[in-house]
Amino acid sequence: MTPAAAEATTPSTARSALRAIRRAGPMLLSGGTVLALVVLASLFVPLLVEIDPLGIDVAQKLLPPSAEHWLGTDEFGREVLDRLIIGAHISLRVAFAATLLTAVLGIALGALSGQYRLADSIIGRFSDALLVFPGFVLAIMILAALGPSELNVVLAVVVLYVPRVIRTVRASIIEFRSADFVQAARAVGVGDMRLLVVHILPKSFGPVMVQLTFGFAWAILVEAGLSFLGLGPPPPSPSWGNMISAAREFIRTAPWIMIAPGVMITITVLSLNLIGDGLRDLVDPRLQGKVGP
Amino acid sequence: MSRQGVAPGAGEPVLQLEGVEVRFPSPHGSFAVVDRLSLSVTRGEILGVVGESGCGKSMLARSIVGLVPPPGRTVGGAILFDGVDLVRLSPDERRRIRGDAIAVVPQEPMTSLNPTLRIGDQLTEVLRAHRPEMSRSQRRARALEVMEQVGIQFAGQRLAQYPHELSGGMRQRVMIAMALICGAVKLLIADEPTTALDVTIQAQILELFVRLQSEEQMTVILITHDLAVVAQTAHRVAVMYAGCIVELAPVLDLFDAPLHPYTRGLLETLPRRGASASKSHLATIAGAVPDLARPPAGCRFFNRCPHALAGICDAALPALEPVADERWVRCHRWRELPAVAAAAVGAAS
Repeated sequence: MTPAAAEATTPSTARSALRAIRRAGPMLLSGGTVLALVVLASLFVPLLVEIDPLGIDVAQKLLPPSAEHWLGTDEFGREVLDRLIIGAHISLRVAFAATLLTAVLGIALGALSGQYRLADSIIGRFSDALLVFPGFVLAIMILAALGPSELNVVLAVVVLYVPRVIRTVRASIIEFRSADFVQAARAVGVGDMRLLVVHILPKSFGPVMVQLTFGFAWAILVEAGLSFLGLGPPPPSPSWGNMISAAREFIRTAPWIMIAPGVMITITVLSLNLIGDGLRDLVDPRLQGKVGP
Repeated sequence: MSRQGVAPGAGEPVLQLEGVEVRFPSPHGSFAVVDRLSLSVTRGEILGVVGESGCGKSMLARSIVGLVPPPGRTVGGAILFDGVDLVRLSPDERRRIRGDAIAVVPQEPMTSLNPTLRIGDQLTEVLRAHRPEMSRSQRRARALEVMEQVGIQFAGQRLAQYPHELSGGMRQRVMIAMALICGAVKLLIADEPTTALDVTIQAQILELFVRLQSEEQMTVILITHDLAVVAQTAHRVAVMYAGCIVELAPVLDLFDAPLHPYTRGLLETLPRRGASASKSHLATIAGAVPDLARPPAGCRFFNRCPHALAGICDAALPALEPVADERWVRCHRWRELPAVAAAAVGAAS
């Protein structure tokens, strides 16, 4: 019998895999930790401490950060910290819903267009048309047409981001549909549907995960941007973008109201980008710096 | 043109190709990679199909199983398998035959298994496709049985392993097991099954083919560019050149007395022990296959043939004509050539 596993992993591929992990590891770890802290805090702090993001107390308005009001209070005397924590719910919820929907739609449509020529030309034209517009401008147009609401923000993000996922899925389907192992499986009578679902589609999951991570970060930014323009979830919902928007007037007198949500948006997006970069390096080191909006 | 290539054959034919034509579109017009090819494969034989790269032998195989890669297409002819014309079947009917009654062993064992799926899942996938009534444990039992049959040791462990944990020879055995797992294979098409393997493993795999062929009473079409492989295993050989069969003969006759100049050329390219020292280089056939988008009017081997005669050989495509019992050749000058060749050998020595 020939010795099995002789060429299991050649030293060079093992080494390059190790290098990728060494480079990606710190990014994934730091990004993941920060994101986990943000998510856990927004989920569990309201359970542990009484939080009142809407409680107006005009006597306590515009107080700077202190031992009593950790991040100060806003123009209605509401706790900035409380609003920040609940704001995380809205921002993350919108981004998460948008990302999930983008994933489902993107994979389904990408699979269709990778598989069928006609679907490809229809879906392809649509995504090209969407990609022509600067993303944020299109988002504003969509929100202006549909009216400001949390759901409409989700829809806008999906419409803008889905073409990228479609392209990624389509590209890897086209790459792998003629792979030897797909041909071999086809030659022993495996059906088209199973070929697609079991052999071809899973190959796109790596790149798609990377893309979705960046999409998540981008969704947070879009939500914040739209809210800032008054097109996001309507006040008094304390989304991070809403908070910044409301704090504009007080940037000189009470800058903490704006700085707190600004910092949250920054570190959340940054941590997601770090995770995306790390994943990308793991999935395909050749793609460095090429994914993301 | 019809049925000229159908050899009389001793037994009944299991597969009959009649004027099969596979064409690919190109900017210069479509070209036929398999050109009106007729051939009869007898039940229980091992038929070797030889020829250099690009002669159409792989496309012939793909045409039989209905997997000519687009934009190529089987545009004409009939492929009768047990009397049923495969060309007329629906895609799903053809899928049902693939892997069940007609199985294919691919060329590249290293890349023909999905690297992210366990061996067991890939083997039993064939049963899922063709024997949906079988239970999980039945599928597993059948997989173990067929793995034993193709000489895979520790079959139980192998089922849980990934392709990268197996050597090339072992992977090719897995591919053969996949081809046999339904247990109903009548025709096995092996497309360069040993090209990616080293010679010791190649010998083992070929031995396996010969054993399985007699055990399973199946017919084998063995496609290869390697005459040595054919010599070891095949009963009959079809030599292909530029989409056509140029010579069809029982294997011993072919090696003893090749008739077509192309076959001779192929045989001369085999390195020989004790070849004279002056011939330090390996023999080659000069030139390349003609442009199939504009096939020459005459013999397709004209531009490379040492015996080509202008006015005869480039005037018309020679027919595949019967020469002797079970021997066919496509050459205008085959009658004169043995003498010509003998004279050439005499002059050289």
